Amino acid sequence: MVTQSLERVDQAIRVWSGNLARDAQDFVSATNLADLYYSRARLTGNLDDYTRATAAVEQALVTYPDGIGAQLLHAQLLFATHDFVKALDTAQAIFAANPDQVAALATVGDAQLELGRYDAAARSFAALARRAPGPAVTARRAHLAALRGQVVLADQLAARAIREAAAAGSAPADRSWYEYLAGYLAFQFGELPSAERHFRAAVADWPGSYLSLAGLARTRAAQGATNEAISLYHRAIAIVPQPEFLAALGDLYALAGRSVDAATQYATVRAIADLSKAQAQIYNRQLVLFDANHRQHLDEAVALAARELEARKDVYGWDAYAWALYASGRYADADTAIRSARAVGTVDPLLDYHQGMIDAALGHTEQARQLLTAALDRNPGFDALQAARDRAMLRQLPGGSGS
Amino acid sequence: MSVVKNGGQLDINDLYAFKSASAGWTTLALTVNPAINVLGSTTFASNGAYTFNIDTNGDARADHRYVVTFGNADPNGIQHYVVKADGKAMASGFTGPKGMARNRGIRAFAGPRSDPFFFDLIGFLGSVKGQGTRRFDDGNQSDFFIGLNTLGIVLEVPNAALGGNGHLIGVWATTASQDANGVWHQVDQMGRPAINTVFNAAAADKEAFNHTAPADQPTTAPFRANVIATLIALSALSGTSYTPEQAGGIADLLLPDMLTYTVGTTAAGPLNGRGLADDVIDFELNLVTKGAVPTDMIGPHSDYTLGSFPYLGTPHP
Repeated sequence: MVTQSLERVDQAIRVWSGNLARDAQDFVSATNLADLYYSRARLTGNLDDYTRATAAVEQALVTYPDGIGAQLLHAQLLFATHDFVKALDTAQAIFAANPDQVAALATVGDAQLELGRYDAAARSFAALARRAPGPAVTARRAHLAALRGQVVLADQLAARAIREAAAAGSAPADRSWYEYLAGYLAFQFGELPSAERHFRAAVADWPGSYLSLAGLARTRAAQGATNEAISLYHRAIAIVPQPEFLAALGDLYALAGRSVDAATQYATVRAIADLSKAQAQIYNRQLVLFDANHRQHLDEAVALAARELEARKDVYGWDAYAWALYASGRYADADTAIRSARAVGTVDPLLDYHQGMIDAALGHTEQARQLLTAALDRNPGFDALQAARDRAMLRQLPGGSGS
Repeated sequence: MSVVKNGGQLDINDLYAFKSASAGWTTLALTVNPAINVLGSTTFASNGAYTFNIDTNGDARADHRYVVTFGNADPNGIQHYVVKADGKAMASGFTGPKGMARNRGIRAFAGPRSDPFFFDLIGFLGSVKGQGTRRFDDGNQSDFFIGLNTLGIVLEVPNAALGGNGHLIGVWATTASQDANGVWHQVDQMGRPAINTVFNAAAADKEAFNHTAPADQPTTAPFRANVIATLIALSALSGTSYTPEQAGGIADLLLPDMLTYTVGTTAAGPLNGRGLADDVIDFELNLVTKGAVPTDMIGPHSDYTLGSFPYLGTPHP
């Protein structure tokens, strides 16, 4: 990850754009420009920069198709814009032709993971760890371990990535990323003090880390610090208004009885849904869950989730589909889908909650009670709105006193 | 030739030596750290040394050394620097727009400047390296460096300190860094433009060349053989390659790799010093291709002020 200041990235973009304007065949400047737009997109979350980066890298490849730097960037940009199938094909082709390009192997593994091909991803990351050990591959292995429900291993690897980044003298934005990952996993596993510590470290390393600000907001909300959570969400949204952040902030307002504020946030989520195609692609999953949670646009949500699943059969693809089906009242289909989501063994209270609700709807009362209780036991604030619904459902289930 | 990459603070771009605007003075200029406005650090290495080595008796060994060292950067990126001549402090000052210093009979400047180097890099990559669709003579020539900044160190010294008017000197630049134990390690070395870049293909040879004193370059394998082989290969573009004897003669001109310069004369790089506007790329393209590629069709920048110190133009915004 490039970690220059935004001001210098902007300056560099001006200079290489100037070169490219003078010579449209200048593949060196086009590649540099693509790299800078990609960096800026990651620093600021501005999705238009992915479009610009893609245009620049395509311009470079037209004039110099053999340019390995441009080829790698192309694969990474396909991944970043959620075209995982093409990203995988492209990265595999690069790696086959250039076995010394371990960066291509990293993108191969990343795409396999996002496509739900976890065994293949594990093999890619193992090969990558042999070829290029360090925090980047350790973090990837942590992510994979978490998806497979290997909680202890995931925590260990996430902590190791942080240590490796420090030992390697990594730049603050990179260190921030590893702290973010550790915080994200800790929250998922219900380790709230650890999540809070990691997210705070991530924000200290890189105050513009909108992901960590939102992660900290979610953690503080789970810890009952609602006002602080609201203010943190606002800080994250000021940097990048991701639908997920807006929805969560809306939920906090709704739970606090501030329905007008909640409606404002919810309306913005829908506005983003109607925006550019690139954004819709990247935020598809967040939008499906939002609509399912709020029981709106359900046919659209089911169709969107189904379309994503065609190529991308990963844990959270199945989960989003299951949740949209559940909201649509298609409980038997939802049950099949949520079982696919949970087949890998992922430890995540949100998955327990989703299956618990589906079980409740199907009359599987005992299973429902177990799963809904398990979700809250792991993390009583796994999601502000959903945890409240979890408790309400437990109270409604026949034959029990609830919790 | 500058190689644009995510280079370090001690990477040398180019070395210049020319007659100053003030009679009786010579300017020595060193640019380091390519494309600082887009890729690199905007400060000099505080654990490094930047040296102009001067041979005054024709043995390609340094008889005088001007060494420039830098302190840590302040929050605005400004660094204190000291210029020593043969160990004796001659000038000190601060980097940046007002980076000039004048003491004890020399003038000095250190700080960001517009890079005076001019070259159609993309045309070169297409014509010579087979990369991309551009060619030198396709009418689409473009100066890759026109918007780039670099870090410049400029010294102005009295001709008398270089042996006086009419004296033939050799100049080359070296950079070095000091490790945690205080031991110095040479990092980069350059005399004439692009010699190492063009003639040593293997990375190991490039690295070895950077660490071989100019006096030893003609007799240390494989450097002379590399020059001859490259000349024979690239001159094939003209239809008839140089003979080994011709190539050997040119190799003896190019090694040792120093900027040779007759003090007090108007520079004509790369064989007599190097002025900021000297088209050294055209000269070298002609030489190595035996006239087959006479020019990259790019001329000098207009943003330097030949008339006054520190000569290199103000940085691009």
